[in-house]
Amino acid sequence: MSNTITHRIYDFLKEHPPFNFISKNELHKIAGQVSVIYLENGKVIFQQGENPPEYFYVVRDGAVQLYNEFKAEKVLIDVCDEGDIFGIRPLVSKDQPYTLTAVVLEEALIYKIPTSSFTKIMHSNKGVEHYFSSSFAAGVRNPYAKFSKQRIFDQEDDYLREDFNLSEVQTIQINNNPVTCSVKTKIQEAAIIMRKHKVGSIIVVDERFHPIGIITDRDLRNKVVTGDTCVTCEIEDIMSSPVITSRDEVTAADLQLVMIKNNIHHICITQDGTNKSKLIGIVSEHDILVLHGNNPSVFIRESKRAKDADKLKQIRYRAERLLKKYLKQEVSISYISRIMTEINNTINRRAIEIVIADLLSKGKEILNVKWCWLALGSQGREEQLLRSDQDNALVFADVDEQEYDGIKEYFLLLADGVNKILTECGFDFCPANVIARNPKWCLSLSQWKEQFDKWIYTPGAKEVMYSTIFFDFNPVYGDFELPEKMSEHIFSSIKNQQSFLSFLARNALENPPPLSFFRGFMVEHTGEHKDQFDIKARAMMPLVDGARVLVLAAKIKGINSTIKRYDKLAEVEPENKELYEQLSDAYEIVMRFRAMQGLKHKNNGRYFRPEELNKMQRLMLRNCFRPIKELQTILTVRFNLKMFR
Amino acid sequence: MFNLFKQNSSNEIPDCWNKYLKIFNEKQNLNIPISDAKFVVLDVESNGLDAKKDKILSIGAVKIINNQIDVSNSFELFIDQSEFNPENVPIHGILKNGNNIKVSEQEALKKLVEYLEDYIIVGHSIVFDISIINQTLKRYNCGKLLNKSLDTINLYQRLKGADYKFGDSTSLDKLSDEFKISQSDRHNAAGDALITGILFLKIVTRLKQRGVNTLNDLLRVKKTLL
Repeated sequence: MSNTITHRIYDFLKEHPPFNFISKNELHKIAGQVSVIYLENGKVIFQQGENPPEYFYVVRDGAVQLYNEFKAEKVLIDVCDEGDIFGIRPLVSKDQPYTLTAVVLEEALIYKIPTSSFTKIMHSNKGVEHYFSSSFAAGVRNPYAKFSKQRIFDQEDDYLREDFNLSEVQTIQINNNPVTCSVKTKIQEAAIIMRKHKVGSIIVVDERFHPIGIITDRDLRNKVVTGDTCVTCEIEDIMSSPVITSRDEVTAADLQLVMIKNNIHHICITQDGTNKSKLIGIVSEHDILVLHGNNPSVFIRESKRAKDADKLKQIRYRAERLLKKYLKQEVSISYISRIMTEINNTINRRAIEIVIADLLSKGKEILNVKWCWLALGSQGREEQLLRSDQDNALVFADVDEQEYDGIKEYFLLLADGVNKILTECGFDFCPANVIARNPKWCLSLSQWKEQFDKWIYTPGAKEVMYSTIFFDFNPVYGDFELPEKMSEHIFSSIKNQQSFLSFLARNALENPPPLSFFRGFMVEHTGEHKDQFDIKARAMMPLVDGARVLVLAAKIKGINSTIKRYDKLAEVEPENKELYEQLSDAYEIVMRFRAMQGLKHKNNGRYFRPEELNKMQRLMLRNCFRPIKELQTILTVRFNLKMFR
Repeated sequence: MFNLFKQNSSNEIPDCWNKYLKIFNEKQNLNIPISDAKFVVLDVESNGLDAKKDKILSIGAVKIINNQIDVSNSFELFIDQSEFNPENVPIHGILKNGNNIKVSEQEALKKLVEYLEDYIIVGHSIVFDISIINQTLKRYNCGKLLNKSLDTINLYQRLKGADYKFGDSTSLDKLSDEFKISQSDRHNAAGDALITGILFLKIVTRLKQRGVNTLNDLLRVKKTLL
């Protein structure tokens, strides 16, 4: 047998899943058993209902279409191109006929691989096993968690690797105005200096400004407040000495190691790195934590303290780095979105506080009226990862007619300020102008009720569009009872007007997902090819809209996130549990894709070309389409939508 | 123990050659569908282009049976060189002390004729490959190969018909591009045999659409052009 030829086959296989999961030796053995065939256009490789032979197929070159034939109707199921495997029925279940027909679409060079060489690997190799269960079953359950060694999203994503460890190798920004005192300073004096500079530590220096010791809050707590040492004693009595020092130009990781090793929280930076030279700065553990950016609580604390839009903007940019890191590490999307939502909401809240203070300074006092700032759309659903558009609104309690104008004017001013700060932070205005400074969306409770009723009782295209934005409101700041009342009202109105749900459901069917991907294209159910994929319209919106209408129909209140909505639906409708779980997973996957694409292209990630995806990514995305299609079937049946078509 | 070719020492004809000849005693039926015919696609790398004087460095081959190439039934041998011409090494990438296991020339010829049987030999410029094999066989008191042969260049010219202009390149590289056959490292006998095999399958499929159905039709293609 020829080594060269075996190796060529091996070289090809190793690039494609599931073969990339197989060890070199095993894959070499498999490559040696491959048969190569060449088939012309239109050639039927196998027929639905036929008993499969002892091998399955891999497309080496060309393309193969898979059909399902039902009552003389041919339904296109998939198109396989270079590297795709098909005809895996004999691998998955023995003695079962093919459920599909395979026909050559473009003259194809095909590898036949004997099943015998593969069945053992299938059950012993996690990656391979998972690949088969996910590509064969319709399910997308457990989409990536099982790939311990090989991360699906990693393979081509070097752009993330670039700055992934940035914080670890970055030269740390040191505080080069350290607070110091001399050895002879009294403890009390030192404490006063610390308070004055709002610092938690003070460096004791000699007359040459060489660091000789350090006092921290902890020392004051443990050695002074306890009564062990009196406050009039000299600092020398309680300082930790000698101090740990380091040179300038070291990385955060180095400093952190030194801290861990010496069990300390501060490092003095000196000119030559020893304690026999001039002190130039100090680095605390907190500085490193902030730099790492791996601590969301730091962001939240900082946003709460932010004094202006500029600072908020910085925090939001740093939060994006955290997002990258989380995506890279494949942290669960529900966790990521919870963190990002919390950061966004805190920024939002802080923006409101800043504007209120600003208005106050201009003599406009906050009014004694209950009100609430509402996040809408993706922020309202707690699933805004990237900074896409800002959608928000404001509700205030019902007031006397004569007061109304003055109150509305104040809230419009407030909203205007907040909307501007959020824009500065990178949340663009949405094209539909759904923001709180728009007088249409800054309303009293009764006005909101009226508005909702208008949408619910006379639904048209525009009304349904607004419903999809406004029904996912989430209170951010202010009085949370007002939005609660809005919710109650919506549910009671829908109860009287069930046909509204049909309109919502129909809207959820507007954009069916594509069938599959083929080379650089999406394949539509009609067999048509398109080269750009709109993940928002074709995958996210159908999932979001479907979840919303099902939740409204099931009278489930207070759950806004699409993933949680499907999880809840799985609970209350056990007969569709599996589908809802798949939908929940599907949404997690598409959210992740969108965020990854958005970070890669520095945009909102909505459009991308299928050719940018690797095989495994395409497979995962394709697997999301199937449950979406099923969801749309359920909606069609449940809401009697055939008549609309 | 298989030293059946006693090099130049006597006029003894090796056993394997007699065995090979025996296969041809029976007349080959050429009036069969192409898909029933058996082909060996062959490529020989040598240390020069003079079939009379140069030596075989390696032989690669695949069999096409039922329109299918089985990797497990492929053939690849590297021949230990007594005469070694370093100038040619860069083209072929075969080093005298390279990693590939080498066999003696006799052993290679024995394995080759056993592999060939009476299969139809296919190759790109196959005349050269066959003649250098024949030259080598002669050194071991064997005759010429008796297999029928097909040249993919001729098949290609036939396929092109009037579209083929005299002087157009028919190199394996060029045809691989034209027929969209991916080629990794060229100039390796086995690798080229595989590429040539795929090229053969593609050309034959196209010729079938023009009524070339039997092995006889296919062999005649060659005759009309020669």
